[in-house]
Amino acid sequence: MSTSAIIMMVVILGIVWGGFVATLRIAFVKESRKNRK
Amino acid sequence: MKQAEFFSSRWGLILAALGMAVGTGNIWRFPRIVAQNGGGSFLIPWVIFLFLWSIPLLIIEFTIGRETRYGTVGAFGKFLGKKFTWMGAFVGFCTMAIMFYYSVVMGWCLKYLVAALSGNTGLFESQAFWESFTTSYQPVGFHMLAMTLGSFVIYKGVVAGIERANKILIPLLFSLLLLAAVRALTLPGAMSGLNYLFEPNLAALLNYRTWLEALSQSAWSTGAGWGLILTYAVYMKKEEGVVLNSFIAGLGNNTASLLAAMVILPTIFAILPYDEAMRAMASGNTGLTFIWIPKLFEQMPLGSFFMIVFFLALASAALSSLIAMLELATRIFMDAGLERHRAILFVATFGFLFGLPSALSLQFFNNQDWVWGLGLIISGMFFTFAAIKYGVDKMRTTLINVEGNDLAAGRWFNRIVTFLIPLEFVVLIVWWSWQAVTAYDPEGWWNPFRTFSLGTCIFQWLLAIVILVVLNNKMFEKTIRGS
Repeated sequence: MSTSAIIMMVVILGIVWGGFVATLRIAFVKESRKNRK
Repeated sequence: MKQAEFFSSRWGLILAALGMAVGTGNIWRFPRIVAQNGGGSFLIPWVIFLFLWSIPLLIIEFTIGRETRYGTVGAFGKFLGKKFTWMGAFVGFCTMAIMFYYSVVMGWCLKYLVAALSGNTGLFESQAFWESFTTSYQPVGFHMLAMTLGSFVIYKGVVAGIERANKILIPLLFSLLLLAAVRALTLPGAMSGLNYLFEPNLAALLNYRTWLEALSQSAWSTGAGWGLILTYAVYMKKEEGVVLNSFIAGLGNNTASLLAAMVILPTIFAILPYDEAMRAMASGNTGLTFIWIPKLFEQMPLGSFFMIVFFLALASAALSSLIAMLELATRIFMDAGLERHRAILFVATFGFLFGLPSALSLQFFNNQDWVWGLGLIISGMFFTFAAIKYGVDKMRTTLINVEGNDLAAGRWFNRIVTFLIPLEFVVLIVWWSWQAVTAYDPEGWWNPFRTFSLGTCIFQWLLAIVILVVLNNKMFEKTIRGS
């Protein structure tokens, strides 16, 4: 793979997959806190 | 009206929202459109429009559904006032019209899954297999099977049906896509496909077509503006936030799309020479999925097993979206006074009957896909109109950023909804109309009886709108007053 393709892959997967995992994690933490109350 | 059914937990709602968003379009359309529009260059506007079209519209839908506790018809009537009920009815009708032929699509997926499971080698003669299947009466039987499966889930209710089905379908779908991606990426020569997927190309990035195709893909793929999330939001708890849920649904949808592209493109580029790979990509959704995919899997080690994996993933994606469409229709009839079991029997019966022409004629199927696929952009605009009429800032501060909301919507939301989405709407409608006039059917673009004409869109939309405007007051009385 070319360097520019690798950079693009990291950026796009970082935003989309990273964003998906991060938002799921926020929801998980919030729900855990809510359930502990 | 007292709302009696709720998702049992936030995870139930999130999985249902993901099931709604991830459909066949992620698997059979996205990889094709990326490949035809400059690979990596396409991904930039596609990600941008996720944030500038899809997620704001999902936020609006979530908010209106949670606030009104009605399906699309009642929601517009209650949120905007009696005289706007027809707008919600148009949104509902547009998605129902898609449901009629979407069940046929799911039937095709089931047919290929059954053929793959039974080791039917006829699949490898893919062109002949597809033609003999679609010209027979078999699609009717598989359409009926798809409608029965989806309706059974809705019949069981929100928790025992929708929530439980998506708890199985979504983890299964993501696991299957992941498994298929690992297989695809370990094929000799797969890296050229991955390189094509991510390689940025400045000329393609500067081409307006790339941006318009990216906006179209974003508008169709996430399910934003279809009324489906509005329907699911009817069953969400009052204290649950809408912004974070919208981001999860949008980003989850795009995650599935990228996974699917990482299955299809490396496989195609590993097995086919470049020119033939591009020919496969240009063969349309059904051509790529039902003609080229079996050919590719035939030439791949463990191909028969991975063909099962692929069609099982496709059928799971189709079922989770069909469930959402059936629930949208069922909710509308429940709001009008039918109880759930009667409403779904009614919806399944007329859904089967109205899907029959698409099951029997690919030309009719293509016409409906063209007319109502484009109609969804109008539906999206109706949601934006609802937010603007209510007051975008008022909606943001009094209905979205309320106690329990876990991610605040900033002023960016006001600007996107007030200025950008209406602009995107105008650009999309003008672009697709121009395409119809200049590329799809330059001779008969005005003719309402041609498959891909602009005339057929305007004729069918206007017919639906006139009928719904005439029925406006009756629908309002039945839905809002009757509950």
